[in-house]
Amino acid sequence: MEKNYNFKFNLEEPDGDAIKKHMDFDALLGQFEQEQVPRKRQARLRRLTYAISAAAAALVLLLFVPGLFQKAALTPEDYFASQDFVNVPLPEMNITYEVKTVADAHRGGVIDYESGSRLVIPAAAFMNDRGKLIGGEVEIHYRELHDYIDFFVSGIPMAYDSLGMQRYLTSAGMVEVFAKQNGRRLRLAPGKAVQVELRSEVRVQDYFMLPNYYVYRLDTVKRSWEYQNIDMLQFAEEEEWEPGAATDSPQRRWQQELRWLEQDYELALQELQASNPVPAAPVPPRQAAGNRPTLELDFVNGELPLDPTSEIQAADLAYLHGGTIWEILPESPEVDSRAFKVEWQQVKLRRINPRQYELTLQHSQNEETLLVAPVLFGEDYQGALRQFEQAQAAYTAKVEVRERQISEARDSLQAMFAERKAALQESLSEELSSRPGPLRRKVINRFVVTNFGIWNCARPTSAPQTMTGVNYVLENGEAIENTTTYVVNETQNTIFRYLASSSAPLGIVADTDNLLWVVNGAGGISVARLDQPFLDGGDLVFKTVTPPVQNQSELRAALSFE
Amino acid sequence: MSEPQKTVSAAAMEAEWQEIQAAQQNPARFRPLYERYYEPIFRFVFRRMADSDLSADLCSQVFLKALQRLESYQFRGVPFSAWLFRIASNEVAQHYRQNSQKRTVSVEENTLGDVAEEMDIDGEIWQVEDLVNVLDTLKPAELELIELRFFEQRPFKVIAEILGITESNAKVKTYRILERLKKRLQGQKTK
Repeated sequence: MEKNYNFKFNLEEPDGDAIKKHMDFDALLGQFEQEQVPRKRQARLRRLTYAISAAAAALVLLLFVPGLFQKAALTPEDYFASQDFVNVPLPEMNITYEVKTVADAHRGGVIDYESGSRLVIPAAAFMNDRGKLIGGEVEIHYRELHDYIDFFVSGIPMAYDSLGMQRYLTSAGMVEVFAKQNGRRLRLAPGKAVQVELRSEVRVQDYFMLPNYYVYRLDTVKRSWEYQNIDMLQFAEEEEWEPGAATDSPQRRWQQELRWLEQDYELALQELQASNPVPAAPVPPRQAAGNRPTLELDFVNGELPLDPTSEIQAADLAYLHGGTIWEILPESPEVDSRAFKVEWQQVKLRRINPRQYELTLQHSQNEETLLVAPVLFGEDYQGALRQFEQAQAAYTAKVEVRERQISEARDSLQAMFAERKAALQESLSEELSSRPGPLRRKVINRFVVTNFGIWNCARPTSAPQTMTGVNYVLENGEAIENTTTYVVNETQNTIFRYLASSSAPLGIVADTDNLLWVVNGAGGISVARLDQPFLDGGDLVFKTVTPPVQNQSELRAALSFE
Repeated sequence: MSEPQKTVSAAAMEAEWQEIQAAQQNPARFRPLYERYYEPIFRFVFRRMADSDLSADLCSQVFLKALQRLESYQFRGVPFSAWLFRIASNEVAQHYRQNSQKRTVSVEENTLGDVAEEMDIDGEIWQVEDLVNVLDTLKPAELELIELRFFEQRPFKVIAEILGITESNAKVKTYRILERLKKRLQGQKTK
């Protein structure tokens, strides 16, 4: 029967040298490069063929379909889709990264930044691009973006798709963080998260009311912001924030007054407690064990004098019931039986607790220390127990009365404190709201980073009302076409991007100043300021900033609202 | 049978991944990889061709295709050589398809013994001819699995990468083939 395969038994393979004779990498590389050129040519040819076909088709359409003679305008969707998602307009002015190191990735660490922000890196948090956990020194690259200038120069888009609705993110602060080792980017290990405390400043409606912000991560692959969590926001203490700040600011004054108010309140509470002291609780009598040695020592009547240096004096023992004797406790040091025969001259007593004492029997040549408890026998004990029960009932009643009195006074103090605090708040709010300009507060944004990249503490805001038919022109009358117009306003910490084209929509937020600019071909900036809504279309004239801005501070000055 | 020893350490794979990335940037940097793997690839092809010149031609094709596809190569935790063997395996298969020739299978008696041992027929009397007869009944893909595992002693992880299947699938398939071979062998004996 014919075989399906050609089985070769113990085939003799050529030796290494014979195989090496066939090797020729240069020839291989030459062949590879030669094949690359025709491939590129083929691709070009294909593109050319497509272009010719497309041109022919377009010509047919133009000739035979009426209304197609006009040039199709570029749509904003097509324009922005053709741009890089993170499109840095002026690379030389981009926000630089601050690089700090974690000495041992296995142990993690805490990194504090000059801005007051902090990163907490957990142990064993990094892995390489092949999923292997790594140790050793790791560089943390970090930068913060706070305002529209930062968002502009870093090219970060702020548009946000919320369930299919076009919205924008107004930011309370943004960070970009990533890690590197030996020049290679690392990933965060699964389940690991970097805790971020981002210090920033937000605009507030009410000085005392925390605004709501959320946390979003920029997904550069999906080209969108992705909601992650709630921003755990808190107000930063003013003095902690700016130690050198002016002391006469209303906020500072308020804090100082609040501190005094709190001190007054604490003091009043302490005085209240002191004016009505807690009554002394009666001590229950203890019955003698019956099988322990006892000492009959009467200190109260001065039968055996107490050493003047003794911690306890006769008056301190007044609570003891008649017939009290002292039982040597099991935990007492061993008692020498000869001690019972000695005539002790005086004693020292130290209270360990209301029911246990340290007794030191003293003689000019000797001293014996024991642990003892005051105890009673038989009738003495029963009588003492009855007295204790009466005293206990009286004590409970007194405590209840005191508690009632204290509680009423405490509630009244608390109400007074709250009232004074509210009045203080109100006066500060009034003072601040009467001042020109927005009310701002320093905050700490707390969130966790589970992937390296750009994270934004922000909240969505509606897209502005748009208009079309705006002609974008430079002051010399030259048209601005098919480039990005950046728009910001004084009330929202965001940046809107529109296509500069008369057929494309332009959004302007009413009731506030708007600032628009474009980056012209030479890397310069042309700016238009709108202090009222630009509702009727027409020409929008941009003035080119001269001389061209050279650095970020010049850019800030050029794009300032003032 | 013990696990084949043709494994590569993680550190070596790490170093190699850097070489690959360099070659992805600049094809001229492919040279060390070419020099390292030329001989193993040549031998792989030769065992399936039994012709030095033909093997050299196919080997050139293998490396040319590797260079052309290098840009898309992604590290998946197996040695780079597995990827090259996969290209080589495809080239060999394509050669036989185009030339309608019988595929060459190189066998050593001792490796044939490994197959028999794995089938648990060691104690029984078996002859090389019997085993070759049952191997001849296998489909090309099945025979290649046996060839890679027993005749070339490759780890399942690498076999999986060469054949484009999962490691567990490679194991399951291998043992099913062995079961089938055993039944056929026993069937032959009873005839």
